[in-house]
Amino acid sequence: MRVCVIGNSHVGMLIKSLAETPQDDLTCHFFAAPGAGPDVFAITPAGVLSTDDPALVKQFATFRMSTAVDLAACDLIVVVAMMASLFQIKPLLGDHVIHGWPGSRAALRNGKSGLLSESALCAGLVEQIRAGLAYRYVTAIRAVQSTPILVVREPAPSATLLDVPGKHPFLKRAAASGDALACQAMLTRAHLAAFAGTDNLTILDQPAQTLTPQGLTEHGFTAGAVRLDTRFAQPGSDVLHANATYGSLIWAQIRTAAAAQLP
Amino acid sequence: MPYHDLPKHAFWSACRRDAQFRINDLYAPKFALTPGLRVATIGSCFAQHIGRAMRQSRLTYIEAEPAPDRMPAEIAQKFGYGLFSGRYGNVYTTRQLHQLVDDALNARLRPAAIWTKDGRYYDALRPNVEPEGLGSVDEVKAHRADHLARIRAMFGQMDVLIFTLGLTETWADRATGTIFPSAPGVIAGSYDPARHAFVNMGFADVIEDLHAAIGLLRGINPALKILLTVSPVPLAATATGTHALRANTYSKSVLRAVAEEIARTDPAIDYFPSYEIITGLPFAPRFYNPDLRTVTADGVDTVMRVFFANQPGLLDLDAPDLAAAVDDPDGSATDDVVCEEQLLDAFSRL
Repeated sequence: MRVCVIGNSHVGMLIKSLAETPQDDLTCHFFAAPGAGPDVFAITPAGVLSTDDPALVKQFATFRMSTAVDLAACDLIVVVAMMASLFQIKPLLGDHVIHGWPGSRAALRNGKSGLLSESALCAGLVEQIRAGLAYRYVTAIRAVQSTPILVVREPAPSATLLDVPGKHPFLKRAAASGDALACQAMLTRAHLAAFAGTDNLTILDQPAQTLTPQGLTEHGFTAGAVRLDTRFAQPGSDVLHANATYGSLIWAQIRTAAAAQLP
Repeated sequence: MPYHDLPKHAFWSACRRDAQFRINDLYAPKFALTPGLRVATIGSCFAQHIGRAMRQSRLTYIEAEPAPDRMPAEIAQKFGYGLFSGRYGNVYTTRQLHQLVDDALNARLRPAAIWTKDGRYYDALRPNVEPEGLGSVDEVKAHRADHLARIRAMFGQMDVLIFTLGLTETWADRATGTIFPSAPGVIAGSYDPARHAFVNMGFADVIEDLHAAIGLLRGINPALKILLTVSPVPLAATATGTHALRANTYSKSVLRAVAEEIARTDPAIDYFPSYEIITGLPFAPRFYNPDLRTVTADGVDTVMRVFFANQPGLLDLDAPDLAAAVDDPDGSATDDVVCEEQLLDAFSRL
């Protein structure tokens, strides 16, 4: 199976997993860059994805990635992260709360928070997702290709954030109140809405066994996480990235989805 | 000789001889608005234009129910944020204003005023602010209670209320008298002749409701000043059975007469003639889009230039120049206000 994986630093979990557990029947092309992701790219009508941006070319060389991938030769395209995550919910909520979410009761009692509907929050997230790089890739690919696309969302933040003093107050409150679970459900709804209408595209859910009851990622799936340069482990303060164990679960999901979609 | 000392703008012929038809003289403010005054807007679609201009000025524009800061503006507007000072949607009639003020001051929830559509629940008093509806009756009631509490606070804080009178035609629940901004069944709910009544308000009805609303507002805010305007946007459809032009003429005539009557008799209430600027014979139909209903950007701009030219120090705009104001040359411009009444236009194509 030939797979092209496009994304940002979250692609590291898949690279590391493959490095630790090679899959002989898999030929994988990675097209990824740290931060926002490879935001300068072109796709030819024949389906060749490439970048000639000098900064990206340099980064690709560092990570030993090719700056051109023939998507037409791939069986599957996997787009990782570059969409919306729990971190985008807080700015869209502002001081508002959602009726029915567990954390809203106390906030409504003090009268400071206004009510925002789930539909409005979802519409804001859909707008963000569609303004994001993943959506640009999906749209550009679909303009020339019908190859199946799998979308891998950014994992929920690590449960270790609960132990980081003085940081992530919103996520800590959301985890404690139960709102983090509601946020995850909202993110699922928003991603489905954002990509609705794109043929032959599947959004993979975060594997259930990786989530804590509060809706964060279990420490066991973030400990020892890497980014694109897999020689270096993440700093201790990083609560964003998942590890190779998590990556192997995603590979399993990819294989399951591929088996269902490929001839 | 009673006409001897009158200013030139009192004479039609003198206005006609002026290239600008003395448009700037149309507004002689009864009271000056000064920077920092807290201003709120309520009204029909055209009030959204006024709100935008106020936001840009040195007045303090009240946002009683702001959208979250990072919510994209287009999404926020779709959900009723930023169109007026509160998220009440279009308030077309004085009866609807009276009802809104009364409900806010008395925390009256009107739990029966909830419509359904496709399993979703809509606030029948502002059905357009949640275009996809809400998930339950309880959620609608919670949103309405939150809305009314914030509007009540706004009523107590505002120094100036700008109210744009829009229509005389409306729909009511026969049993409770509850007024709806759009006919049941247009956005959600269903029309039931046994339950819903068409109401076309007359002069006495309109002035009584406006007096009542103002009285309630002054009960908690005695120093409140009010600026009345009449929307120049014609009604999208009439339920009277008469020609739309005739119904519109009636409706605007009543509203315009009420505005004059109230402004004439109350020193803290003024009238701003946006209606005349847009619809007036010397200017019409240059300020309308080809649909002869929605107002062009030039029209809105001219209205606001007249306003701010006569309320100096609030926004640095030149006086209007009618020679420079031209219609959209290709006729492609459309209005960008949120107006559920416009949905009625769809029925004309059935």
